[in-house]
Amino acid sequence: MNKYFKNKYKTLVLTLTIASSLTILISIYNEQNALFFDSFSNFFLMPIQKLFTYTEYALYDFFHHFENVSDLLKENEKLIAEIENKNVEISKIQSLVIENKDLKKMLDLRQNSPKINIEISKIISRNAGNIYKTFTLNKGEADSIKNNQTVITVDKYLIGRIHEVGQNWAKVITIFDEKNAVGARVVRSLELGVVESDYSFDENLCKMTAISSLTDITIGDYVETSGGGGIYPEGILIGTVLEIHKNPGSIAQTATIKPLADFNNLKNVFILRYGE
Amino acid sequence: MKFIYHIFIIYLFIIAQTTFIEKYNIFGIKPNLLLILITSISLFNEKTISTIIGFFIGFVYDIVSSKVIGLNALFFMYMAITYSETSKIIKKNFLINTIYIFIFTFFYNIFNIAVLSMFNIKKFNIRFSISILIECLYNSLINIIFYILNKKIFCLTNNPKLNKKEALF
Repeated sequence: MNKYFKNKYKTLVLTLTIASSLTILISIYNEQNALFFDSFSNFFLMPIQKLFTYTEYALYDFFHHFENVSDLLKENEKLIAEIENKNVEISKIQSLVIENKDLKKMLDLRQNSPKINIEISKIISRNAGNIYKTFTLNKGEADSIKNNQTVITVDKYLIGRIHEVGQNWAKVITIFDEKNAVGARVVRSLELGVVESDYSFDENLCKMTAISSLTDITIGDYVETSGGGGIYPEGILIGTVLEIHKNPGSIAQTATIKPLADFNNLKNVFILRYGE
Repeated sequence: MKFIYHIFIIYLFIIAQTTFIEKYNIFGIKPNLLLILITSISLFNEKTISTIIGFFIGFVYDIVSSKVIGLNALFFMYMAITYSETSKIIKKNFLINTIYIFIFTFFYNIFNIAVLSMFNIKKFNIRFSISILIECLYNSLINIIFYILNKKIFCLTNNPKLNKKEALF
């Protein structure tokens, strides 16, 4: 026995074996002692355990972060797609709101003018240029659209007239087009004239010609259709007088007219069908 | 200096074992890196040092992850002793090294489950036997990587005049 303990290595192994066995038994059988041992070991090892745990969490966070990057990128793509879809939906809703307003206006117009058949139509294409002198509508012969029918905005301002008709489309020439001349009158004084295009003027404007030099006309006067010529019905507002050009020695004068219709932001229009 | 190095290596392996090794499981079974570490340390260190390190690793492992303190310490210590005693054979033969780790993993689990069953802490079942086999294979596979590291990078295993200070572990 003494010889055995003289061998340091064997003593070490024996000591460690006994120590291990004891700790096993303590931790299994005696909870109190096990708790004491736990407390004792924790006293020395808690800082190391904390360090382990801290490192574990730090490493986990570190690697988890990289795992998350790919997940986040996927989620980001998904969210971008969702936002795009939502934007499309919002755009559709806004479009429907505008259409709804336009339809309400058409309903009002129908109720106020029972003799007029009103067809609402969408602009499907415009010709190139900043101010559109012609544009195409999505209604045609199938909807009883015919040449020379009057086209107005939903706010009942004059746009022009139907110029060409297909099965399910119709082209409109506006009051800016040189082919279009509108019999007009000053709302306040009922003095007559003709509203037509004039390229010498600003392209956003028209001119009113054939006005007598004796006519009572002032800047700001409203101009409407007179019903002369048989194309346009009377009483549709065209625009306001912006300038008056008096020619010395002439019996006629001209006026610059600013149309009330906003030609750049047209979307839906009304086509007036009389006598049907 | 080597003592600090060993502490550092043990520290790294315990962290690896308790953290991200979970992610590299096969059928839910993760390898036992500490078991592999002991084999590597025991091959390139004196018997006394291997014994103490084996005991220390086991003891720390017990505290970190076992309910019964001393179980891993006891097994790891005897495993380190066995490895140190037979290091000359194991170093020379790659196949024996792999078989050793396979057998030690097997006995490690059997020892654990036997003690725990004896004291009614855990019961043995079929699923456990399958998981033991998977762990044996997984450990053997990882041990091959460590063996190659030792042999190819440090050119140590087949060197009869092994300079222990240059060993990886």
